[in-house]
Amino acid sequence: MRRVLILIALLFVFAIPVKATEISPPEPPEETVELLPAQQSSFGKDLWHVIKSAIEKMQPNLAEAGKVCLSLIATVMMVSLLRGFSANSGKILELVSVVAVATILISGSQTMISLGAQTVEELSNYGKLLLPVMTAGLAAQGGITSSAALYAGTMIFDAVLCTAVTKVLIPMVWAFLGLSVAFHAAKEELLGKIRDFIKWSMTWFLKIILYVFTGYITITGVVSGTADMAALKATKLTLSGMIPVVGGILSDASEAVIVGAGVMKSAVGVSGLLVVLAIWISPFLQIGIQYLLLKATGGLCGVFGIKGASAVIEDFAKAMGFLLAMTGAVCFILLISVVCFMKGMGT
Amino acid sequence: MSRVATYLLRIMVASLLCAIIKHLAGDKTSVGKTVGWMCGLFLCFTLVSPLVTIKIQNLDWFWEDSISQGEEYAQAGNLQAREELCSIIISRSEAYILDKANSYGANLTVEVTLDSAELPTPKSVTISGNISPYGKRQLQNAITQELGIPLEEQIWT
Repeated sequence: MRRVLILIALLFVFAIPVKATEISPPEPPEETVELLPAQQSSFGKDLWHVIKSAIEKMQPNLAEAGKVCLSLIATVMMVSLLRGFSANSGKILELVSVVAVATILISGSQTMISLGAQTVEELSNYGKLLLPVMTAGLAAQGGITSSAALYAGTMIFDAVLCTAVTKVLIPMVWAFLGLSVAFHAAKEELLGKIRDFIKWSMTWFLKIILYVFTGYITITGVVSGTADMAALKATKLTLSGMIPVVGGILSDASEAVIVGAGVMKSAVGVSGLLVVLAIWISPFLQIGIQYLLLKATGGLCGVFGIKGASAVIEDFAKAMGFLLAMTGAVCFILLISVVCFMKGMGT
Repeated sequence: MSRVATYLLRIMVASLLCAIIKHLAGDKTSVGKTVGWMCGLFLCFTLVSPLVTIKIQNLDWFWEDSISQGEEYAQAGNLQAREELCSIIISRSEAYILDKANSYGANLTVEVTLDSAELPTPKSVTISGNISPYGKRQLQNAITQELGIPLEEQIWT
């Protein structure tokens, strides 16, 4: 009996408990649940599951987009045929073709633009749930300064980008489309120049925000990571100066907490990455396919010699490209931030 | 409709209007040139006038809010880690004392409390149960020397 008790006591002494702090991943949005694997295995397998499910889910939308493209080609072919019959009414036919093409494209584009805006909002909302958990996880590992700085930076960039997308960039996409249609219908250079300016400013804004974010993450990682590392070194130094037994207990306990928090943080991070990708991938594929199909249709319509109509189609494709860039930028910010949290101090 | 959307709509309408007027007036005549100049002026006014009225609000709160939130979450994580650390230190210190007590043939119950320093260390211990005087002395010494709990903080019940 005595030996058993000693054995139990020794087990308590030598066992390093790796029960981590309460760091659990937030619930994924309802729409993404069907894309996520029921049980996590390896990141690669889970990622493939997400991509595969998203592709399977996309098939009906692909057929819909195909129908739109076919109707565009049919319209342009009709106009081309009509132009052959009446050579004098070229300008009017050009105008009619532009208006017809714009009318066909507008409802599909509205759906895609709403989808893009909704995706940005969903990503941002999920980020607001995920990042506090990652912050707590990194802080539990000793990265108090880095976690706070990383959280603050990500939240600011995320908020700026989301506000910009919903309040500035989406209206700008509409303005771009409106001006494009007007430019190709009226052939007025002024409209084309304003359209190009809008396009340039959207691209410039997204590029700048991503550059600044990447710079911020790099600098913050180095500066605050160094401070946290110094604090950890100071703690280790204090431990080494303690009574051996207490020092040993404290050292093992600290190690256990750090390891446990790290394990939990990584698990939350991996799960978070998958959810972020699951939120983003379906809309990305839908908009991406629309983009590619419109690009191809634009090129194909150009063969029929109706330049205005094919240019309008290409401008609608560019608008889809902007949507891809917007959703991609928000997703990029979240992914990079989660990876930095996972990597820990000195990112 | 947001202010930006209204602004963009204004620009679009103004550009369309200018385009139509310029188209009707033509480029080559003197009237056309004057109309073009007027349209340019009108577009400039439409573009610039709302920008002049923008008031930059104090944006400090935005940054400070995010910073304080980040610090709050980091503190919460740190607090959780500390609680975990404390519970591990307590359980391991108690296990150490019990192990020592067992080696002197005693069956005790032990309760260790920690101090509130940055790095928590055992502060006091409450020990109850039966132990021989020799074992008690040995255990007291071990607790003092190896766990750093002074004799006056060792409560025997």
